[in-house]
Amino acid sequence: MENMINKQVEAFQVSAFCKGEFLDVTQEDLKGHWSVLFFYPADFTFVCPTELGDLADYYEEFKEEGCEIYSVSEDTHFVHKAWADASDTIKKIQYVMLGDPAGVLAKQFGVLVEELGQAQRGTFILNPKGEVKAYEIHDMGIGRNAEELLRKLRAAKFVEEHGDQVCPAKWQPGEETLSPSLDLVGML
Amino acid sequence: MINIEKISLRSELITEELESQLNTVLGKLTGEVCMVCVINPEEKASMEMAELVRHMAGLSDKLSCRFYDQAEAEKELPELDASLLPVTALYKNDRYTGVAYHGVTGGKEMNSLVFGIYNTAGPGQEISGRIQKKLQKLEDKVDIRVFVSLSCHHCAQQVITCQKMASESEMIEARMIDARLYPELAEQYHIERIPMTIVNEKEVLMGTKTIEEMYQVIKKCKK
Repeated sequence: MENMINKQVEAFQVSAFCKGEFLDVTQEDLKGHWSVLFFYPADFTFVCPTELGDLADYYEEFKEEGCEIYSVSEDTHFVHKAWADASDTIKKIQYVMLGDPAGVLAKQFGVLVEELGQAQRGTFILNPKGEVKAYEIHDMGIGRNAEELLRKLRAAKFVEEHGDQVCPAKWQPGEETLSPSLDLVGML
Repeated sequence: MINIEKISLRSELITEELESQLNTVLGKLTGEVCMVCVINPEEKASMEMAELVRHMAGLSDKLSCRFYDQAEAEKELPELDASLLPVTALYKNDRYTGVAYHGVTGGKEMNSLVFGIYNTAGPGQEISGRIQKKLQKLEDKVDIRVFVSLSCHHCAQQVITCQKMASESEMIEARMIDARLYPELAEQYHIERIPMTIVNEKEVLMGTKTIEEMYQVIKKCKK
């Protein structure tokens, strides 16, 4: 499978459902801010509403990071609406639910299982230029964690802003002084 | 007044292997440097650094050391920040070079101390003539503080870069600060990642930068 890191989102246009409304979404809507594309197999399943509900609970924190969330399944936007009408968990979702019945997005991101017409549980973090900076793909039954996704988003933003030559400050008060090491003298 | 007799000539932090490496580098020095160390003899970190400095000074006739307590330093060395002890500053021809270390230069920061000495005494790391001239033309004082952790490879690299600049310009002071030793500063500046570099109390930089990048920041935030 193709490595997706730094892959640029390609052109697409899909219909979506968001807060009771239908709308069209293209690749341009994913630019100018951080985005998460959150693929899941199908509406009206059991693991999916748990994951989507978990994500909905963290949505405000993603917004505070300047990130928009787009859930994606191979259902139509009409099915998303029907699911929201039928499920309290889905009804509370504030983010955009993309309908991808033709599999355009799932194919583009390599998560389409063609014989099922469903997407694997793929999560893609895109920077404001529409480039993939982090992703994970789970097999159907393996759920994801919105808190961990938020941590990854923050890390991706930090690296984009400051570069990757930074370490977490994990010292403890009262720690012993480390033995010196002269591993940079080769630069002299 | 510091009783130098109470400072061991040998530091437990300098192993035989490290001493051998130090001898190789210090053997290349072309000029003299004095390590001026301000300590509180009651504190462990101060005594660790004092012993390390005394041990190193014994390895080369180009290196010397002097010790002060806080009260003496405040009176006689106003150019140093004696509020964060221990502090070790490099002096050349009795003048402060702007290169200083707050804390013990253990772990990766041993690199910073050795490079600081090498760049101050000479021969020094190579630097492009173009950026060297720019640094020598600086007219305003520049205060660079690099907060580090002793286990961080990137931190030592950033300290070396900033102190190389200090060795090229009388206007630049570049100090290493071991954030672990000064929790009040870690809290004040919300230090969660390192290296964190603060320029003139205005600009906060994360990670390593090149001399050229640091120069651009300096130009942007005059004191």
